[in-house]
Amino acid sequence: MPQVVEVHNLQKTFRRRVRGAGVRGILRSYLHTEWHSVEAVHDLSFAIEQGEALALIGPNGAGKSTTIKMLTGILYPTTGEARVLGLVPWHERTMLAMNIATVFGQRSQLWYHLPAGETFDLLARIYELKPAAYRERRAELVRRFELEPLLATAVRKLSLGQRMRCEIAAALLHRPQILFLDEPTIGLDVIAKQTIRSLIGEMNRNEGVAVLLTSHDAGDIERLCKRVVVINQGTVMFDDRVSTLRRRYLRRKVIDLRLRDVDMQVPVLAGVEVVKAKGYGLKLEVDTDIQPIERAVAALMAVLPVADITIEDAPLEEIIAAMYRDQADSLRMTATPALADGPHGS
Amino acid sequence: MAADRQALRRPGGLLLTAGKVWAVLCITLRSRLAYVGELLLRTLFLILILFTFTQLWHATNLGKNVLVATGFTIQELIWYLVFTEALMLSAANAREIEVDSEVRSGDIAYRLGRPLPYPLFHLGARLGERLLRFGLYLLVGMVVALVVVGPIQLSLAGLWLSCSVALVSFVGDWIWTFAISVTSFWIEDTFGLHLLYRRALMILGGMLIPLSAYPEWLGHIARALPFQYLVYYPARLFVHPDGQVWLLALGANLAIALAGLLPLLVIYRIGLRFVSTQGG
Repeated sequence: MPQVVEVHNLQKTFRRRVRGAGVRGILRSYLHTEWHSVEAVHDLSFAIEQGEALALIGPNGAGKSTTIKMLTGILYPTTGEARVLGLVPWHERTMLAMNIATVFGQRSQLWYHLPAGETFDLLARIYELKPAAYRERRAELVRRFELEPLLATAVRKLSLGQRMRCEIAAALLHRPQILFLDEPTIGLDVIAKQTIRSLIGEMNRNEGVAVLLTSHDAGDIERLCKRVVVINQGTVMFDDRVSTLRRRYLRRKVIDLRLRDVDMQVPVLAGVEVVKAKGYGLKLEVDTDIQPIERAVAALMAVLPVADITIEDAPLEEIIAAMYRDQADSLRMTATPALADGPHGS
Repeated sequence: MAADRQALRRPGGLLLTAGKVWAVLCITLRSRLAYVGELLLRTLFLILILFTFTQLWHATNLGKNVLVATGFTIQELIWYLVFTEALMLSAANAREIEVDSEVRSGDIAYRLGRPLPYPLFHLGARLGERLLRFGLYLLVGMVVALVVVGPIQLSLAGLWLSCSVALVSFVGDWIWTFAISVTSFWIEDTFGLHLLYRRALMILGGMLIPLSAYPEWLGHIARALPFQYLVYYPARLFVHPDGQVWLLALGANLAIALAGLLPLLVIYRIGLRFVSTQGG
C-alpha cells in the first residue's frame, strides 16, 4: 500500500516572550526581552498507509494538534520533514488542501448564523465541485449522516452532536483522500460519540479515506483505529497495533457507581479494587484480564442498589505513566548485564 | 511507496478563484442579513452624529461664509458628512478585525487550510460586509439629511461617480488594513496599529469637514498624504460631481491599492512562518 503520510524527525518549538509580574516586571521585560521555548513536538516519525486509520493520542499539551497543523501546512516545523500525498504541506498548502480535509472538534467551519446547507454550497465552490457531482455527493452525505432535518436550521441552534455531524459531512464533500480529525468527539455525550465514531468508521471502510485521529478518549481509538501512536511532550511513547495497546495498557477499566443507599458492603471480587467510596458514590478499578468487565458489572448489580453506572477506560495519563514505567524497567534490564559485565571486563 | 502526485486534484485558475471570492462575499452578506435588527441599531449612531453636526454648523452661524471658506454650503456640508460617515462607519473598527481574533482563537487553522488563499477569503468577507453596511448607512444618512437640512442637487451621475470611487477605495483600504492585521501572526495584538491608521483616515482624510476648511498647515499635510483619496474625494464627488476629479480619484485609489499589494504579500509570506496556534 502506498504511504499517504510520511513524517521524519519532525520538530516544532514555539518561542514565547516571558513577561514579568507586576508593573516593574512588565517594564523590565520591555528593556530586557526574555524568551521561553516550548518544544511542542520532538523528533516525531511515523507513516500512514492509504486507507489506514491511525490514532495519535496523548494528554493535553502532548503535541497532537500541533502535529496535525504541521501536516496540513498551517504551521512550519522547526526541523524535520513531512510529506502528505507526496506534497510538502507547508510549501504546497493550497494544492494539498484540495485533497485532504480537517475537522477540529473545538472549532467550527460552519457559518454560525446560517443553516449548514449554506456552508456546504460555499465549500462546493471553494473545492471546485461540478454542480451535478456536488448535488449527488451532498444527497449521499445527507442520507448517511441523517442531516435532512438539520439542513434548514441555523447552525447556532444545533446541538453539539448535530453540529459535529454537519462538520464531518462538510469536510467529506470534496472526497478527500485523508481526513485529519482533531478531537472530534470532545464534549459529546455517549450516544453522540457512538454516532460520530460509526460514521467515521464507515467512511474509512467504504471510501478508503485514510484517517488521522487525535483524541483524549481511548474509546475513539479502540473503535476506529487499528494502529495507535502515543505521544507525550512531543515524543513518541508507543507505536503499535491498538490490540497491543489494549492488551498491555487498556486492560484496566474504571466503574463509577451511584448507589441508592450509603455505606453498602462491596462484594469482594478478584481483580476488582475499590478506589474511592464516599456517601452514595463508589469508584472501582477492574483488571479485565482477571475479571471480565461484564462479569464484574453483573456481580455488582446483583448485590448493590445501583442508581447510575458509568464505565470508563483508565485515564491517558495513567496509561502514559505505565508506559514510562515499562521503559524504565526495560532500561534497567539492559543496564543490569552491562553492570554485571563490569568487573569481568578487560 | 509514496502517494502519486499526478493523481491529485489541483486548484483552478484566476476565474475560479474570483468565483470563490464572490461566493464568500455572498455568504457574508446573507450571514449579516440574518441580524437586521443589529444593523439598524448601528444606524442610530449615524443619526445621532448627523443631528449633532447639523446643530453645530447652525450654532456656529457661519452662514454664507461657509461657502467662501470651504466651497460647500451648510446643506452640502451635511450631505458630505452623510457620505464620509457611511464610508468610515462601514469599515470594520479596530476591535472587529478578524485576523487577530482568528489567530488568538485558533480558527485560522480552518481558514488557512482551504484551497482559497487566506487573504482572498478575507477580501470577499470584508467586502460583503462593507458593501451592506455602506449601502444601509448611506440610505439612512440621506433620509436624515433630507429631513434635517433638505435636499441638495444630487444626480444619478454623481452617485455613480462617488460610489465607483468608494468601491475601489474599499479594496485599497482593505489591502492596507489586512497588511496591518497580518502582523498579528507574530505580534498577536494589532489594535494599536489599527487605531492609528483609522484615526489618520478620519483626521487626514477629511471625515468631518472637507480638506478645504482645514487650517493651512494641516491642509498642506493632508494634501501631501494619500488618505484624502479614500475619504475626501469620494464624498466630494457625491456633492460636487466632476469627471476630471473622478479620474484623478479613481487613479489615485487604484495606485493606493496596487502600492499596498507588495507590502501585503511580503508581510503575509513572512508572517506565515510565524503563525503560532499552539494547542487544540
